[in-house]
Amino acid sequence: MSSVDPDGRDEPGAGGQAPSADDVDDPALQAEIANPADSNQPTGADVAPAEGATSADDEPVPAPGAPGELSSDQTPSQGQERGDSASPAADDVGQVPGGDAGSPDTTAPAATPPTAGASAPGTESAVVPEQPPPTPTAAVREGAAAERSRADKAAQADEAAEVADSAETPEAEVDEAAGRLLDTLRSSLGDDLQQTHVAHGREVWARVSVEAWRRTAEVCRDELGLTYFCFLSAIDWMPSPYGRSEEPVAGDEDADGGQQGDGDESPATLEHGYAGGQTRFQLLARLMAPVTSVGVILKADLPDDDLRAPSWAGVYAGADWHEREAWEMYGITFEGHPNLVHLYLPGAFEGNPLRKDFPLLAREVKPWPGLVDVEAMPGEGDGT
Amino acid sequence: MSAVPQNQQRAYVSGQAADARVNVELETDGMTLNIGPQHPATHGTLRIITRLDGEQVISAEPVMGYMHRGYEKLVEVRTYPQITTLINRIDWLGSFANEVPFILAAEQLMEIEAPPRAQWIRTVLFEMSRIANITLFLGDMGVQLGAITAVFYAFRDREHVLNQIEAATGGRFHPNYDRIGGLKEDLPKGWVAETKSAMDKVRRFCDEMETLLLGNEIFETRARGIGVIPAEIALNYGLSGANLRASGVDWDLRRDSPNLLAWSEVDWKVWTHPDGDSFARYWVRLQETREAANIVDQLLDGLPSGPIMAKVPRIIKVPAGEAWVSTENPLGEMGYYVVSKGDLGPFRVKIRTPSFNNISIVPWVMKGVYVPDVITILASLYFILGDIDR
Repeated sequence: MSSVDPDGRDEPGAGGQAPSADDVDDPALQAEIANPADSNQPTGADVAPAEGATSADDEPVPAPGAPGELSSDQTPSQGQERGDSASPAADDVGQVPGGDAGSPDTTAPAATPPTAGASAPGTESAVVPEQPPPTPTAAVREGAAAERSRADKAAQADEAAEVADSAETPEAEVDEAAGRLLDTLRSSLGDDLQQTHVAHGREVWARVSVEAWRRTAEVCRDELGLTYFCFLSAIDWMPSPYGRSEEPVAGDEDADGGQQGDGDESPATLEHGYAGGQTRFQLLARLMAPVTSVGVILKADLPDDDLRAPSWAGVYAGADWHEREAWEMYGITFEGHPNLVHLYLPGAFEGNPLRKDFPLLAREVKPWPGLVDVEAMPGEGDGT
Repeated sequence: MSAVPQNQQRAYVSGQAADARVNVELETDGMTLNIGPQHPATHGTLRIITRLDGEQVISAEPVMGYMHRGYEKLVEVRTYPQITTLINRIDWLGSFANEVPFILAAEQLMEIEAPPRAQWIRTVLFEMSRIANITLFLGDMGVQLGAITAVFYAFRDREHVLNQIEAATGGRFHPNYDRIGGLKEDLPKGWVAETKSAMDKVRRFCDEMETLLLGNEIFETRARGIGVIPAEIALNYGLSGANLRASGVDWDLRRDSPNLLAWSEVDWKVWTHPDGDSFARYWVRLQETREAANIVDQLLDGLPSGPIMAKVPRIIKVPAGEAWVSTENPLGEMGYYVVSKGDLGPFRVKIRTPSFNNISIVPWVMKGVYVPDVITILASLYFILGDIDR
């Protein structure tokens, strides 16, 4: 190891500290290690030159101390083992016990029965989609009730849970975290949470209404501690009018024309994936909690005649580019996005390439020699 | 909490005051400087439009798409086995690591598991991809900061690892070795011993880089405190991998997410650094390379015997469903969201690449830095163009 080895993980006292200055001989370096950020170079948006500081400059930087954010003293740091590392949001969501996906106790199973959404892993549980009554749905009530009972039981359950911990499988832990996550989403979003799906031991899906798209992000970040932005994109559920590679349509003009007629955009022909859906285009995003790796996949239906969604750029700065990509690839407008311009494609590009009805020209020009070789092998056919 | 430490703000303010005195007669005008798309620091064709005021960057806007290949469209007209060939070319320095999460996602949908030996060999090659990838970074960062020797050592020692990858898979850069249900073929005879000696060379290389660069005054001056990214900003932008760990977030998907590969079977450690600057990012990657060599050594010691291929139908049809699998790739979190409708090929694949998010922080982190630091920051964030453009 070098002389400036800031290895603090083995020393419990060194958590979160700069590399020990004692290891370094050079006094100038010592000073710098002791105060690593002391530099002549301004690096952050906060110290941008005045003439460059527009209102947009501060946009990607979340409000200091916003709930759900990692602050430096809460950052899981060196010297701390995973189990006792501070949770990003443990303090801020104390009022939602068990719903805090970022807290270390996600790994400990709570001794309460899972609620409707999570009780049957691998099954769809509809929370009455497309129905806007002001009263909370049964599932929501159930979730809230479970929430309260959990709050009561949480304290006495802790010990029992810790004993049972060793016997739990990783799959059960994931399901447990998924159940808690969905409970919080349900109580915060109400009817805007349209449908959920839990893949046993793997993943959670939640479909929300597009109006609540931004609020969902805020709930995930602030209440659930999913501070890590994974990705945002979209899905076009329309079956491709050009068929798949293995079907002999490529290069066959007549077949193409015939098939294109079939590919009407009627939602009846659409087969949606997990958590269901009604429309051709769906938003798709994933958020995650650091360290615990608890995550959720979010979807939202977009009406065919109105491909607009609220932008996440103000909640997750990383969504900026992902939304630009989804905008050019699918033609979905993100309202409130600071700079919705082309990311990959040239400025004058027409069309939205990832839509299913956008032809892949390379396949039109030359048949795909994929499943069936159209060119003869040496020694067969025309004998070349 | 302010994103930038107070002393840094003070230094900036006093710097501005000094500049104001000097600039009474010397008016500086705004200027646009294009870095790239053909700049060595951009590892390919990334272009960064910087607006300068004197030596200082007012705004930096990356422009990409010069190498956009549209993989998400292309995979829709391919069968599952054909796709590994394509996704090999996303992060071309650590190709094998690109294949693994996709194959795992397909296996998850088909509900098959590769046999233990295949999982261990996958892990070995995954870590070797990491070494091959990061070795180049360790040398390249030196070049960007003016120390050209380092990169020659990097190319020299990476060769040992690439030779071993080639011996096992047949491809130096694009192994295309992972199959749904297992691996293409078993390891050749004598491979284990040779790989172990290659790992010794990797460790020696790491020591060499440490003595060459870490103690070097120029290197330290140009990297320490440059491009500081606080942890909460890094998470907000979706930074992952060593870039996130260099900001003090102790999170590694190899350890923290349930997966089938063999990382949990061996004794290793996740390295973090609290500083979040360019130096920290270099330091973390250096330790990770060493750690990867240790992981490979331990895995080779315990390599289980048995088949390398599960029972898989000859024509692979993946049942309808959706799966998300991500792994800790050399550059960060790489994941595939696979939507299947029961066909020979996927209906939709969303490819989440680490460099895309890692570079999206450039406009934020480059605001207010000086021109030479642009290069330092780009080098330390470490991206592969194919991993941004896909």
